Amino acid sequence: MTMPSPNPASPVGDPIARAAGRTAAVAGVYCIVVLALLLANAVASLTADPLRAHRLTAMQVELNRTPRNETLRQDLRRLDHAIRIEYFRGRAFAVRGAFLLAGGVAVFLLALEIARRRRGTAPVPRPDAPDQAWADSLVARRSVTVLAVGLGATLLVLVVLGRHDLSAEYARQADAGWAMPRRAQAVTGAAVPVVTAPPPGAIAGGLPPLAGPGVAAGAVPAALPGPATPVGGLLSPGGTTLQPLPVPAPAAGAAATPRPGPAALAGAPVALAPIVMAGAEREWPQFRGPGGTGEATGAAPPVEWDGASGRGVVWKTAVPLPGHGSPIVWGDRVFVAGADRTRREIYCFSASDGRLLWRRAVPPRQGGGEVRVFSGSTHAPATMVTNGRMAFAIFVDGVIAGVDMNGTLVWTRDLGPLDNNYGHASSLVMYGNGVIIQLDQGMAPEDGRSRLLALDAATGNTVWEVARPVSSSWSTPVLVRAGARELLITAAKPLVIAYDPRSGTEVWRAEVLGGEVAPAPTFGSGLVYAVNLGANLAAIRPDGSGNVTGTHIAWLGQENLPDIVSPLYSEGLLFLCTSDGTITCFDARTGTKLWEHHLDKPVSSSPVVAQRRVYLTDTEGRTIVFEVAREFRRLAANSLGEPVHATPAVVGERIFMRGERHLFCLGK
Amino acid sequence: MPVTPAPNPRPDLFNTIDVVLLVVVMALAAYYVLGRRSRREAWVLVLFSVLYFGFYRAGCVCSVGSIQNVALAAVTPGYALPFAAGAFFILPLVFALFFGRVFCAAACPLGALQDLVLHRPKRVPGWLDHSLSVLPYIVLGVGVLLAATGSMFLVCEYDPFVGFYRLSGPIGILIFGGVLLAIATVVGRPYCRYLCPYSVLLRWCSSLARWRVRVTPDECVQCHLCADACPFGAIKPPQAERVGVNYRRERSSLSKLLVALPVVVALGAYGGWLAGPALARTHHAVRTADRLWQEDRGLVRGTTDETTAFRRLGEPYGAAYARAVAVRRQFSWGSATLGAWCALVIVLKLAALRRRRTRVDYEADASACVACGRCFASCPVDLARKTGQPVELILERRASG
Repeated sequence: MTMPSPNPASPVGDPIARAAGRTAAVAGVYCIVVLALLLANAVASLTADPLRAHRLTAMQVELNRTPRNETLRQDLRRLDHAIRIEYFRGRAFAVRGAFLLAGGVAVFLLALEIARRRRGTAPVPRPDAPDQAWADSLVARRSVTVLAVGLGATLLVLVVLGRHDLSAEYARQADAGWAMPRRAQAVTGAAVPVVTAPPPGAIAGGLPPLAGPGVAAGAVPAALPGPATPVGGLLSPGGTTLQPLPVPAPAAGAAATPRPGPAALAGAPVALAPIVMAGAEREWPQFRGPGGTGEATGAAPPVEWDGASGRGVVWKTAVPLPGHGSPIVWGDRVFVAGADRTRREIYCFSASDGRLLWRRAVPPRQGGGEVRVFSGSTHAPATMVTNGRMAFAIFVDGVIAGVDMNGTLVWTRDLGPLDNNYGHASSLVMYGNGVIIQLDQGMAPEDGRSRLLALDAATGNTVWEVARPVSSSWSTPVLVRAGARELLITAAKPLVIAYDPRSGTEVWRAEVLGGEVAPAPTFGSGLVYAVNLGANLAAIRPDGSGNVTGTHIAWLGQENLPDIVSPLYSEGLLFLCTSDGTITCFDARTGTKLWEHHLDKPVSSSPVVAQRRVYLTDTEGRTIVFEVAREFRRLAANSLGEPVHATPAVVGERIFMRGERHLFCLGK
Repeated sequence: MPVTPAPNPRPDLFNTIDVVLLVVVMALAAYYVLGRRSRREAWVLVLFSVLYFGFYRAGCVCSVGSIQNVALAAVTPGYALPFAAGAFFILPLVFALFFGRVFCAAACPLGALQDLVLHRPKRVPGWLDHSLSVLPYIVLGVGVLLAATGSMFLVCEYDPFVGFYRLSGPIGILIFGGVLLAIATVVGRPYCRYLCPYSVLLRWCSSLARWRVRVTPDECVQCHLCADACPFGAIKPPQAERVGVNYRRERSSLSKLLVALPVVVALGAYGGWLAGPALARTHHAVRTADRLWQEDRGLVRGTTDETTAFRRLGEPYGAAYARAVAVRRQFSWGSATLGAWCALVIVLKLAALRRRRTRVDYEADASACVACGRCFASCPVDLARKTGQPVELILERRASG
């Protein structure tokens, strides 16, 4: 210790110096003793650490094995208590000891310094002290060089360690298969067995149609007037596959126009096109339109309206039972489903004047417990699908029904009981003559409850069914033609899986998702996009097979991810909207964020696009219309005057929007 | 964010008090050391810092560690630099720009602790001092890299003295601190001189200081007493032109070094780039992903707490690997920068050792002087000015013991 006092010239026999020296000696011995006790305590504390108590752990394991062993339980509690007491006693001892040691050290140093000063001599002037600076610098050059060599050797060791790191194979795969420097790539290398389709009728031996009003089991209705284009795709003769759909003529509109692939991506870009049912190009036959992507081809919907004053409202009709499923439109018919705790109904309205043409009750499931529906949802959250000859609706409890265009109930099936926290909400998709259902269930992928089914539209019988290694999801699959292949893209935790829609055979999978997946996947710019909050926005090249996680992820994003609202692709741009109303626009090829805009209102409806205008409705019924552009340009904001959770349907010059209580037709 | 072994957060009011006290201590130190040229009061401030910033505040927040907060905040948009950390980072540097290292003199609890145990200072050989003085630059580079990538707050985790202030800590760190304190009894402030990353910044700033420590404001009598009194080797003796030194060859050597500088720096950057994957394993995301990979392929047995927690979260493995790959890329760039930085420091140090210097008097090295004020009491000229006695008389008394 250095004291600020001047240095006294003291005789060697100075009693103060002598006393200080003895004090220092005593303090030194004291410090050694305290230090030894502290070390002993530290060693003892290791055995008393509750986290390292092997006996305690063994007893816990034993108790887990025999949970009714009360004696063991009491013994465990006593031991746990004793160990904790010992542990905290040791800690208290250490703190007290540390204080005592600090005091001892302080006394030791102080005494030592006093003794040194009393006994020491003043420094002597050394005007002729040798100058070592130059000699030191000469030696220092060598020593610094040695240090540099040491650093270089350390660097070399790190380089070798880095290059021979077997556990970082995933990183090397990412480096090899990734051309985008800005974003990370997800990689796994596990081989994935391809799921084969089981034979039809695999669901509980094929449940019989439920009895109910208007049921005409097995009867296929006659074709209805209206758009008369025959529905493409039929059940194969063997009954286990669906026949591919005919490719719509290019003149059918932009929805069928292949979306350009990204030149920047590795490998040849794959042209993607929606798979649209023949005759449905100008209809809105399913969730998010003919291609399932939210794009309204050839439509010219209104930009402004006002629900309160009635401006721009063609008609407004009450819907008897609530539901969050979107309206679907075919010809002059608008379909929605509604339900409450006890009733399930399908409604058909006239598209021209909003009249309720018919309503059809669907028998609820028999014998099952009531399905839990969380406060913000309904018993009819899924959107119907139609092929122009029949319409199909699925409800929260897994009851699915097919009705003809006149409201005759053709068949029903009960796919429940479902192990799904919020009930079934995935909307139906049609491929050929099959109705495809993403029936994901279970808390974890390992539960083995999730399935993907294709039902024969005419009879409701299973065409194919495959197990899915995913947990519950609420996402709607989308069909896409990728080059020569037709794919059914599904999204759930943890996988995006592409299937051959004809047979349900898995084509590829990518492990990029997590959480409770509700947003539907979409595609464009040669990429398939899947997203969910807490996981990723993943852009996947669809031309792979097997596990493509390590090879076909073009980019990943983690910013402003939605958990309900589906993404929208249009003209090289990708739009996301979070549930709290943050709209984010990305460059779809690169994942570069271009802009974000805050609505400051909750949103659960998905966006649609028509005429380069995006329509996005918040839960209060305000629809914001903005341009498809690389910067945010708002065109209008229209209030419906009623809460909205459903995604609008856009056909021709009209928008069909389902409010909480009414169905609206907007336009002229 | 990296996990730091920090005490619980304090209310904003107390953080403000800490900052105010820091300013007060540094201002008083500047006044006593530079104005009154007195070490006695500065010593009281040292005691205060040990007790308040050390024991009471448990060594946190400290300016040395604040480098990491600043580095993390600079590259992480989601991390807001805490007010106290920002103030503790910038204020000592501002003071150093004007008054030299008055922060080291009295306000730094790490330096103060070493100062208190300094008993019989010995001179560190010049060559060793030169070599070891490179280490703080490297610690600074590594600390900034690890903090900026969110891996760890290295400087805090391996703070050798904070365990004493908190009366607990990992046994390894306590031993490390104990060894350093033992060395500090004979070598002045070993941590500050050879390890402290903040000292690098303080050196730069204090070298520009206008009002810094001068051994004597009067004429130096070149008695060498101040150089003997300084335990930190910060008093530089007079240096004349040397006979027998081939300055032409020295100049040539210096020129070659400076010409080679870009190449060496580029080599360092390349080496750093290649070392990035290994350094990336300091990041928990990389460690977790690596472990997951190994576990899934049967390369290791059992699971760790991290992998167990990750699996229970139900996140896709792809997300873990994606995060790890992103971190690895960060590290590639960061390590390249670190490699370039280390190469630059080494080359500039070698160049500095070839610089031709001349000095006519004993001078406190502006960058190395920690403004402790020990040299004032040893200087006969300073004593003569204070006491009114002739310098010759004082020297004569000193010479006679």
